[in-house]
Amino acid sequence: MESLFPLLFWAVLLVLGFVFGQLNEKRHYRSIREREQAWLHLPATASRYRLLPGQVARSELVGGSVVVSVDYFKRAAAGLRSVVGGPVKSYESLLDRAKREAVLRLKESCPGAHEIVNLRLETASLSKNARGAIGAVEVFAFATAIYLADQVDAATKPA
Amino acid sequence: MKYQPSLPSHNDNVSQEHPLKDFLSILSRLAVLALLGFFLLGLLVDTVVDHMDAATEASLTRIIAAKAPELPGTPAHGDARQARLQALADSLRACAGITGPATVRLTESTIPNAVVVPGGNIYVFSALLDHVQSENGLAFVLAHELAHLSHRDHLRSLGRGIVLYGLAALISGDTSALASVLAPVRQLGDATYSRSRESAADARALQVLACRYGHAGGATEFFEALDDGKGDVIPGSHYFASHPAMQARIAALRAAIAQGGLKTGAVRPFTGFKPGSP
Repeated sequence: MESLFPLLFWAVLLVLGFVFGQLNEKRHYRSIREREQAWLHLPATASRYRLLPGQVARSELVGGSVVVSVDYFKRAAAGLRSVVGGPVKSYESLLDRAKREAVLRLKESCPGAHEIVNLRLETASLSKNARGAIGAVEVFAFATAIYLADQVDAATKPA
Repeated sequence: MKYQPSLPSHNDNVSQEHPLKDFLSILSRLAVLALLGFFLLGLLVDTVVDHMDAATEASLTRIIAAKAPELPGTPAHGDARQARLQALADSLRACAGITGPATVRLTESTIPNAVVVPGGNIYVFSALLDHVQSENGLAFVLAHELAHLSHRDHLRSLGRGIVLYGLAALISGDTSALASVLAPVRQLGDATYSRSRESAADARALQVLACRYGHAGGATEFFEALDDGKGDVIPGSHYFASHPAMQARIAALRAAIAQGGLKTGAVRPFTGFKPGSP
C-alpha cells in the first residue's frame, strides 16, 4: 500500500507539470506571435552587411537574454526519450520559445534602431546535468543595432 | 531589392503533434518491456532456487544464519514464551517437512506479525500473541512461516532482491527519470509474485495444521482477529499489496478446508504465553 504513494506523487507532479506547462506555453506563444508582428518593421539579420541604405548615425551592441525552465512533464518525457533515443520533442518548443523571446527582448532594448545586424545566439544549460538541479536553459541574443542619420523609417524607403 | 518584412507562415522547428502522444507511447513500451524483463528474470531466479540441492541450501543457510540480526526488543535469553514458541515450531517440523534449522526469535513489538528471513530464522512479534486465541491459531501462523521456509521463499526473495533490484539500479542509475518510472512497475510485479507465494504458504500451512492436530480448526483465527472489515483504502491498491487482503485469505482458507474435506475440530487452549500463566 505504501508503495503506491511514490507512484501517486509522481502522477500528481506529472499532471501539474503538464497542465501548467501547456497553459504557460500557449500564453507565451501568443505573446511571442503578437510581439513578432509588432516588431516586424525592425529587420534583424545574422549577416555583417547592412540590409538598408543610408548614412549610419551610430551603432551599438545590444543584447537580450532569457532563462526558461522545463516543467515536470517535459522533463519526464525527455527522460523517457533519453532511454530509447530520437528527437526530444518536448524540448523543441521550449528552445524555440527561448530563442524567439531572446531576439524579441533584444529588439525591445533598442526601440529607435533601424536595423539589427550581426545577430548571434548563445545557449547555456544552467544545471549542467547536476543532480537535483533545476533544468533550465539560458538563451542570449546579441547583435549590432544600426541607427540611421536621416531619421526616416528606412524600411519603407525604396532601395 | 526592397526589403519586405514578413513572418514565416509555418514553424517547422517544433513538432506539431500532441505532447502526450510521444510520452505515452514510450512509457507504455518501456513498462511492457520492464514487466517482461522482471518476469523472465524472476523465472530465472525461481529455476535456480528450485534446482538448488539440499547441500547448497544448507550451506547458504549456515552463512546467513550467522548474520541474523538481533532486533530491538528481544527478550532475555530463556524467556518462557520464546521456549514455548520454539517447542511449538519444533512440533510442526515433521509435518512441514523442514530438515534445516528453524529458530524462532520473539521480539517485543506492537505490530501483530511474524516474518521469516534467510537462515531459517522466524521472527515473531509479541503483539501476535495477543491476536490469537488458541494454540492451533498460533500454530497456523508458525506453519505459514515454516511453509515459506520449505518453499524456499526466503531464497527466492533474496535472489530476486539481488538480481532485479541490482539490475534496475544498473539500468537506471539513480539520476535518470527511468528509475521513478520503473519503480511502480517493479513493485507491481513484485507484489503480484509475493501475493501468490503468500497464498501458496497459506495452503501449505493448512496441510501442516491438519497433519499436526488432525483437523484444521483455528486456521483463520489470526486473520479474523486482524480483519477490520474494510476493503481497499484506495480502490485498486490491492494490486500493490505484498499480501492478499485478510478477507480474501480467510475465504481462500475456508474454500480449501471445504475442498479438502478437512474437519475443524476443537482448538487447544492457549497456554504458556500470557505472563503469569503456567
